[in-house]
Amino acid sequence: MPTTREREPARPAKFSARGVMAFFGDKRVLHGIDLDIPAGEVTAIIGPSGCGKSTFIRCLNRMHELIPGARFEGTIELDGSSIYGREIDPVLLRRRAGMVFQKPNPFPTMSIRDNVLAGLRLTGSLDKTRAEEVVEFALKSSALWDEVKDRLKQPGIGLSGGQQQRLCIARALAVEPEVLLMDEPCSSLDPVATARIEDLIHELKSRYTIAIVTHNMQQAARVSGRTAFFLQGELVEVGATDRIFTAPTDSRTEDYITGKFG
Amino acid sequence: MLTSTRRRLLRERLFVGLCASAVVIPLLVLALLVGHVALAGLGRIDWAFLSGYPSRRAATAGILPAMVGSLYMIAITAALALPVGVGAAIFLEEYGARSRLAAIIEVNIANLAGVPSIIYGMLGLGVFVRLMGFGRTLIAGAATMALLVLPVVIVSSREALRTVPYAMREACFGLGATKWQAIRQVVLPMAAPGILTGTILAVARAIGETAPLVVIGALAYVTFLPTSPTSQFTALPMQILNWVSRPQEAFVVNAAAGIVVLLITMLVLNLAAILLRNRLQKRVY
Ligand SMILES: Nc1ncnc2c1ncn2[C@@H]1O[C@H](COP(=O)(O)OP(=O)(O)O)[C@@H](O)[C@H]1O
Ligand SMILES: [Mg+2]
Repeated sequence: MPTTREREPARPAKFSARGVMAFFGDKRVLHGIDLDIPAGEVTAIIGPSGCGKSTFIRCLNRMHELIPGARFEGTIELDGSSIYGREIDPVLLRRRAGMVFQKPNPFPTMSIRDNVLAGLRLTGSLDKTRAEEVVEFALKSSALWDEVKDRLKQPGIGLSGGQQQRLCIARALAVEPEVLLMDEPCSSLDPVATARIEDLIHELKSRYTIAIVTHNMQQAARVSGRTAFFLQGELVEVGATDRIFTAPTDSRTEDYITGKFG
Repeated sequence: MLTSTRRRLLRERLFVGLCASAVVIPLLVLALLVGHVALAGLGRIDWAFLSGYPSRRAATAGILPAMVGSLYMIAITAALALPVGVGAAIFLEEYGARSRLAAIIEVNIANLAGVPSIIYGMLGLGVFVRLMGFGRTLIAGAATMALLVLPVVIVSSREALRTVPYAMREACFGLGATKWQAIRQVVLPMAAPGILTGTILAVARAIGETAPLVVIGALAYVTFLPTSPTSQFTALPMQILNWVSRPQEAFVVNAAAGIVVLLITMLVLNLAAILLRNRLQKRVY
């Protein structure tokens, strides 16, 4: 039964992955993934631990290949052009597709303000006259502005875990990416902080294409329009989130979302 | 049962006692030595001694040129060793970690750290004094000392770089930074306290090194202050050596005083390293 392809999505694909295989040394951990990440929508990637969710989204911004011994095969297109072409500079690609990691990782030597500006400073593309504007925009976009606007000079590491993660989101947004790749952004946060990040994702989805990895199915159901279910390096099923959670076509998807394993 | 427990307890106490004496005995010997020297030399130290120039008469001889020479020398040593050492550490740790060349270099750095300092003196004499034509100048001495401390600077800088979590580099890459941008703006600032402490401690050791200076032929009797890196110079260990080798008792007292000055200088440098580290660590929240 062909389950991985559907007539949806209606929106054009931002990322379009075909036959993606990823390796760590000789070990293949993704076995040919075909998946579109539609523009202007939240796509959730769910699946049990170790099934290759992180590896997949790290292929989307070419972070995977930075790990010694890691290798990629297949094609991925961003807005219709290959990101693995010879002429593509992965560094520039990563500015178009920002990443938020599992554990909040603000730079410990930097203030809140400097953390927000870090991406622009690192890449030497900060226009000093616009710095304040960028800081305010990014912190407002990440719903952190009101909490930190009076202490921008204080260390970013002094914030709570949830605030730190929103600071990391602000830091990613300051570079003006088109896509946000989030790898279990709430897994180290408490429920209240998690709820704030989920609200934030709702606000951001009109402006950015978002792919979020989560092992929390309720979270996928709450934040995403589309859900892709991975299992042991394969894409089992993808479709509208409502349908995946109410009428999955693959029995393995059903077993997973009903908690039979995972 | 009970007796075996008691015996085990006894054996444990014995072991702890042995370990403790391994700490205490060397410290005691050290304290004895320092105390002996201090007793002999402390009384000789006054402002005239610290600000005076060497003299044929022990009572009026001072240590100023040697002290200035030593401080000047290690300042240049640090200025030379720090950039080269950090550069080498970055290359090995961040770029060449897996290459064959890096592995070979790594083994050799470990070996170099164990080479007797007199060998470095020979090297300095051959390369800096003769080949490069520096003569018996401050810069030749400092360059030799820089070679001597370089392995330690490299090793401690690598350790400092290694303490920066990979997540920090990943965060940079995720923002579109190149490897070098990540290293320069995030990794190095985070590693700075460790790098600086390691460097100061290494350089502080160089201030007491005598053999390389003897070999490259630093002067022992200097009645002027060094004015530039190309000045001839003397250093504390040379001055002390000169004094101990005199037959008159008064000069031996001068030597003891010189040793006290040398020890205090080292102590101050080590203290500076600790303070600097604590300060910078507070900045790295
Ligand atoms: N750095 C690595 N080296 C070797 N194997 C890895 C590495 N990272 C992940 N893997 C393996 O790749 C597979 C997929 O991992 P990952 O993408 O992290 O899974 P997920 O994010 O779904 O939990 C797992 O089997 C994991 O053990
Ligand atoms: Mg993961």
